[in-house]
Amino acid sequence: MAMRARQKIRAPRKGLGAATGVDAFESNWKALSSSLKRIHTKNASELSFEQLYRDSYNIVRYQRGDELYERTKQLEKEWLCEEVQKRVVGGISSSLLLANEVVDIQDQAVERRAAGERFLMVLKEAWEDHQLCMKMFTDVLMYMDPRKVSIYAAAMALFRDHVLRSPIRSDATTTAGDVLKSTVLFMIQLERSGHMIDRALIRHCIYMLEGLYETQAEEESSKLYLTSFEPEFLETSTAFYKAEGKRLLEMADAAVFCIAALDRITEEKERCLYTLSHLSEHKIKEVLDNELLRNNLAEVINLEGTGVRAMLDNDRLDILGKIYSLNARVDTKKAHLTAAVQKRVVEMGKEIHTASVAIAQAPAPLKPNGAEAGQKKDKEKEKPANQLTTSAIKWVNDILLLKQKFDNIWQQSFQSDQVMQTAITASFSDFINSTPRSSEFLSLFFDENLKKGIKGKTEVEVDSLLDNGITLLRYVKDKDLFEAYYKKHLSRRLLMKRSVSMDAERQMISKMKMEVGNQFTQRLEAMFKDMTVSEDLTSSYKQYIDRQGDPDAKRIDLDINVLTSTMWPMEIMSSTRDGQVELPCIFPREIETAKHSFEKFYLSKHSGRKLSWQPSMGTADIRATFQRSNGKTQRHELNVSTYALIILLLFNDVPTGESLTFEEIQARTRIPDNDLIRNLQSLAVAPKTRVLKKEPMSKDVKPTDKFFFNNEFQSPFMKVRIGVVSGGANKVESQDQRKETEKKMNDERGASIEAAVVRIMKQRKKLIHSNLISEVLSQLSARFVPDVNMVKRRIESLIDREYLERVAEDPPTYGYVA
Amino acid sequence: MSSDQPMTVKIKAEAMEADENEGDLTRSIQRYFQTSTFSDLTIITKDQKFEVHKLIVCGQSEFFSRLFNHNWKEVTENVITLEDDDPRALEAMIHFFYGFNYDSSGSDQGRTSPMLFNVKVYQIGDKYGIPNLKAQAKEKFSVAIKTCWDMDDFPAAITSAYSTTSSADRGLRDLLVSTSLEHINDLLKNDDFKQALGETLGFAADLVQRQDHPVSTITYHCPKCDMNWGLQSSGKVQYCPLCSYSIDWRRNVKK
Repeated sequence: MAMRARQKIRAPRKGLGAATGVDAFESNWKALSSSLKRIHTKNASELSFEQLYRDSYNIVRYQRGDELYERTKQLEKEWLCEEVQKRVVGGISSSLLLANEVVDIQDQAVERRAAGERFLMVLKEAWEDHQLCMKMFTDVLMYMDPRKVSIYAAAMALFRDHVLRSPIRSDATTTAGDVLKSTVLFMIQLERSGHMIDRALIRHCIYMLEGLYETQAEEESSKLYLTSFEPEFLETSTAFYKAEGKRLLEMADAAVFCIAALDRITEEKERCLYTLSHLSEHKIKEVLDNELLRNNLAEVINLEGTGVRAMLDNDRLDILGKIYSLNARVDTKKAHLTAAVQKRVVEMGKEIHTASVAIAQAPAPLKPNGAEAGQKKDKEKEKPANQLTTSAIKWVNDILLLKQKFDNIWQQSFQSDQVMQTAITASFSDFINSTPRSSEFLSLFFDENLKKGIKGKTEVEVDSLLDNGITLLRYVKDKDLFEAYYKKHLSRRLLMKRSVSMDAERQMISKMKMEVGNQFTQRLEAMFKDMTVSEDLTSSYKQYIDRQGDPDAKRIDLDINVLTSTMWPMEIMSSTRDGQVELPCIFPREIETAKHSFEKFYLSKHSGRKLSWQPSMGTADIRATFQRSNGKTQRHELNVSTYALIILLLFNDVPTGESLTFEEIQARTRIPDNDLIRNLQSLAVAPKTRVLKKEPMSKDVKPTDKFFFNNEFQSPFMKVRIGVVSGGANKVESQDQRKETEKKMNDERGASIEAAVVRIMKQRKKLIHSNLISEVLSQLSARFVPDVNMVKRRIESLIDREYLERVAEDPPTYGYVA
Repeated sequence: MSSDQPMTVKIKAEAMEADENEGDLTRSIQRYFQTSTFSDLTIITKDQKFEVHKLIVCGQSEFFSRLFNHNWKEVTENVITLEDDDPRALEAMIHFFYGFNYDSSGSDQGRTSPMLFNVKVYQIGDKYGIPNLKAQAKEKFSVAIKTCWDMDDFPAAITSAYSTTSSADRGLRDLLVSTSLEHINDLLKNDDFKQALGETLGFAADLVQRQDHPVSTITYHCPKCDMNWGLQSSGKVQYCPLCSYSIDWRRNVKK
């Protein structure tokens, strides 16, 4: 083989002439085509790839690639038409060609199913063989220049046209593709009605439809699956789920519906994954959402007896969760569910309200309604008041329970959905604010808990209890009203030392501060400050007295609370009643001395201040000596109100056996009638604390009644606490009191509105009426919801007083008068 | 498969030490090739037998990777016979697979001229779907053609290159055409070249089309019509294209 470098080299001449080319082509093709046919019959392992490749390589090298391409296509087409198509058609049994309607009959269904599986198997095999052969062809023809349509794609199109789309009989229009489609749909129908089907087999046939395209370009959207299978699949599914929805609704059980619907949803999703194609996943989801959910969900939610209402009532968290997820699928706002939940919240709120009213009225069934209660005698008035207080606290507790219930449902079932939360909150706010006394009730709830409720509770429990209350406060719109009540109740707790824990009180204030704002708690905090200052004051007063060195043994131990009049509730501070200035009550001499001594001390520290004494809020500890008729003496320490002290001190000067009449007492003390009656009641009427005897013995106190000191007073305790009837405890207000509170509230609101108007106008100088109104509303909304008419009246009044002026009529505009 | 005289392939020592920078992987693969360790495929050429590795071979050649797609006869036997191709070119291919630099300048195994040999290797790369081998062959060919265009084997290289690859494959053709144009005047004196020009399908056509890009333009002045006209290439001129005047034009070149 070695050759010398100088040797002349001739170019190879073989196969270049046109004449020899044809022969070479034909002989190469002959060898190649017979081998390709053997590939069809699965005899590839006897063939040499190299041999086949060489044949095709040579053909292409002789510039005959095009012919090779065409001839291969022709060869494949003949094979498909003559062999494969016949085999596939042979797999179609007559039962598959029956009209679709008859499949309901059971035995025919079984038969058809078996036939269908046979057919699908044949088709699947034909397709897989074809694919495999075509891959081998492609490998063999690798050297062929790349063409617009690869030989593989061309062969796939041939399969589509000559196997799937050629009529199964020359006289019919039905094609194997049609049979495939109806068979697969039939199988799906079987599965939907609960039968097992051969998913993998169907999946393989679907792979085929996914692998074939309408066009040579093979765009995604021209997959046969999408063009010739999916539309009909979706159509039958739509019909099926329309009927399914109707069927489920007829069962009239929301829970069953939800479970079934969710099952269907997972089932269809699975079907897309394992039986059909993921391409259909979102489309079938759309069908389900439309047919099964959108059309039926409203009805399901409102189903009598099993709908959302029943679920809420029975805490069916699981089903609620299901219905939530169903509703969320089709509607981001969950409108139907929201509406149902809101409706139920308001209903339950109303139920709570009705229940609390019922409790309040239960012991007094004779009364036609509460409005006339004011006319009744004192004793009868007391009882409903206590009852009312209990019912108020029960009201708050019930609402808290309700809130907890819905919070729980919201978390567990509604996946803490924002929209749902807003809706539930809105509903709570609605019905709480539709209860006119909610502010008062809430404040009473706090009062009750701070006085007794939190005894023996851990810090965490107290914290959560207060938090719950605060949550309700969030719903209350008239926060100023709440503040007024809270202040009133707080002042009693503070002055009468009724609070269980000052820590809890402070905690409460800081919680309110967080929730409602600084401005809201300012006055409450001032009250606490007064209390602290007073403590210091008291102790420094004591030191002052000690320094004076007055050795008076009978000295009175004085505890003083100096209250800033603007910060504390007005009814405590005011010395007016029913519009008339009342004269201050007459203190006994001992007390008067102490009073003067303190005034002197206080004014020396803070000159220019005025102290006004509020005996109605005070208490006193006195030591009383009872001379028994048997000569023994019995001592008791009595804790009484300041008024009771004044009354009792009168009897120091009354000889044993003598009496004072009501009128005498009144004249000598100038205690206001109401307070006097109440104090006398607790001293002379209340069975356990009868320090005085009354003649005649009755429950009412009349101006002519006589009072004796009761030397026979008996008590098992050394220390006796004599409460003032209906005085000390914080209770629900009576109609009259409420009217008064409302009136005060309105005055205060009027002032707030004016202040807001002036603030705004000072800043803006000129403003259109509607803008002013809306700014006022938004500024005040944190405290209360102002009545627009009231705002208008206030604006009028400010104009009258020349703070504002009208500067234009259309639109009405105001200007600020500096 | 049995060969009459199975030869153990010897790799030249210099090739082994060719590149110090080569990583360990290439070295170890080369070692496995030399010792036939782990070999799982046998390639038989006209006069040689190679024990190779499918992983190496299939990774670089589309032909081989497709071969193992299906259960062909070669796959069952793990032997492939390539008797239709030049054994030296196939040897070069296998060496190339294993990262050896193939030598195209004559050898003890009996080689043809480097130009012609590279044409063959190029064809092998083309036939068996090894683009990198084609690139390397082309590279070597372009070096060889620069010095060997006036040798006897140039026309043979033209014929060979034009007959072994498809007309769309411009790799070698462009090189041949441009080299030919560069030296067209000298080459036209060569009978073998003229014969190749006449017989090689497509070569002449390529040449003419390439002439559109002139090597040089000579401007002549016609003394009769007193006009200037230009002519691309150094073709012989007899008549003025404007007045058909005939003269010895070499004397009337306008500078």
